[in-house]
Amino acid sequence: MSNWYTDKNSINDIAVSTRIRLARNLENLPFPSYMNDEMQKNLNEQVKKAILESDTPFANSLKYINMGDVPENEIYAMVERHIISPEFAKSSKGKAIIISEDESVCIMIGEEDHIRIQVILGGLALEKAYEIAEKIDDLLAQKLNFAYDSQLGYLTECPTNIGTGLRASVMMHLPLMESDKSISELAQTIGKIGFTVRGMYGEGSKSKASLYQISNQITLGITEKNAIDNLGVIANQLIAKEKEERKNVDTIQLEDLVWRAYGTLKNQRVLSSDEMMRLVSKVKIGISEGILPFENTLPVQILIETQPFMLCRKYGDRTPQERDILRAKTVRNMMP
Amino acid sequence: MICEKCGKNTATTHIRSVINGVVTEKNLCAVCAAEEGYNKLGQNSLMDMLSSMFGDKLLSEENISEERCDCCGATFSKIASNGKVGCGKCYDKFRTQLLPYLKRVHGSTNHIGKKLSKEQLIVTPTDKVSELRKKLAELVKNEKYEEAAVIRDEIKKYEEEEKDE
Repeated sequence: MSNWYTDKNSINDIAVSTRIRLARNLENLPFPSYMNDEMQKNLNEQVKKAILESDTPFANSLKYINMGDVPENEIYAMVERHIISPEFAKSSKGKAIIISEDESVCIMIGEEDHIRIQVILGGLALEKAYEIAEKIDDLLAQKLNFAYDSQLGYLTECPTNIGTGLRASVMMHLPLMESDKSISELAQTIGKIGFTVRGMYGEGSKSKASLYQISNQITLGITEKNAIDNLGVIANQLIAKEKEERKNVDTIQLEDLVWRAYGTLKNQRVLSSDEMMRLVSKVKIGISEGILPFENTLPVQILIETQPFMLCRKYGDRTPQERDILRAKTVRNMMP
Repeated sequence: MICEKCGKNTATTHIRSVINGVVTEKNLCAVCAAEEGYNKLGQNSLMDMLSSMFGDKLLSEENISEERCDCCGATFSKIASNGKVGCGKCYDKFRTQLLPYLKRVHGSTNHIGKKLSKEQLIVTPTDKVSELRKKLAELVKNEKYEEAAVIRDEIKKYEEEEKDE
């Protein structure tokens, strides 16, 4: 079954993926930072019941997983697949998730908020992702009493998420905007209107492979639709700008860059994670610009499936040196 | 517990350090903890920002209300020191203290997005305004002008909305 990064129906080009997250909390229960193990256990059960006993076809496609039953390599491989947050992975003991088979839907129980509904889809698909998240929200609201205030909306542990509890983000491949530094100007400009630019793996992470996450910051005093629409407008402008900058690059120079990256990936024998990301980024430009005739999902698929824990999950615990050799082999096999 | 350094404010920060196997422990208030450089321990930059914002407030206001939330027992200074609210009920308990910060972070203090479907409460603007006026009078009486300004703006907004209708 395909997931967000292998879904060939999605247009995974400059906009690589779309993520919607809704934060919800229960009434009469302290927020996660103040919860004890017993409260967490109780919370897991309540959320599990609310979803799995709703007996809708959608709910039946979801699976409840105790994080305690998941091997450590797999937990961090989930982070690398963008299914759970790094923060949740670090303190996942005693916690649980509810996840769909294609991993596009993941409900984290006891992250920074009691419930974090996350939907991740390939390409730019804000409306569709929100629609799915809202469906889950409605399902949960039928059975659970959410912490809600008529003035402040949905209440959250961190006041930065209060109101809609919505964080919408689009991951974008912006190598040209990165190379001429227009990305840092962009970060300043969109910061002023309540949006933020971050590296691929969220808060504080450095961008690798020229992948950036653009997301909304403001959740109070704005409707979900407005937040999503505004993000969509920004994403489309970035796509246009990145495309325009690509047009200004000398064709033969660009072709040379792309084919060299392809040649290296097809022939190397030892490949570090950083080198892989740099080269895959170039191959991604090549596919996007019609230089390489490959599936547009291929670069991100390579990028995700050869992350350290993704390799350990498949081949067992390996040293970094062993991983570099395994990564090299995996990439050679994946390159057409 | 009273702050070990100034001996005046309530201690909200517990610092435990181990140097060469010797354990030392300190209990400081937000002001003294900030002075000693312990206010930037968080890894999360947003959290730092929030904590330092709440910290500023504590610096300017000597009388910290140490009321506790009935549901989770959190105090406002605890919330202020780590930027994390204790439970949903805290927002009601510490509403007047929290509103100025929500205004600064979001530029608004009113949710206009999706409503909780089970919410049966229908508050008409007029009810809301009279409630806010009471709050405003109380804040002015207590000389809490910054918070009062937020409420005043809110009243103005509701009144304008009514006019439009």
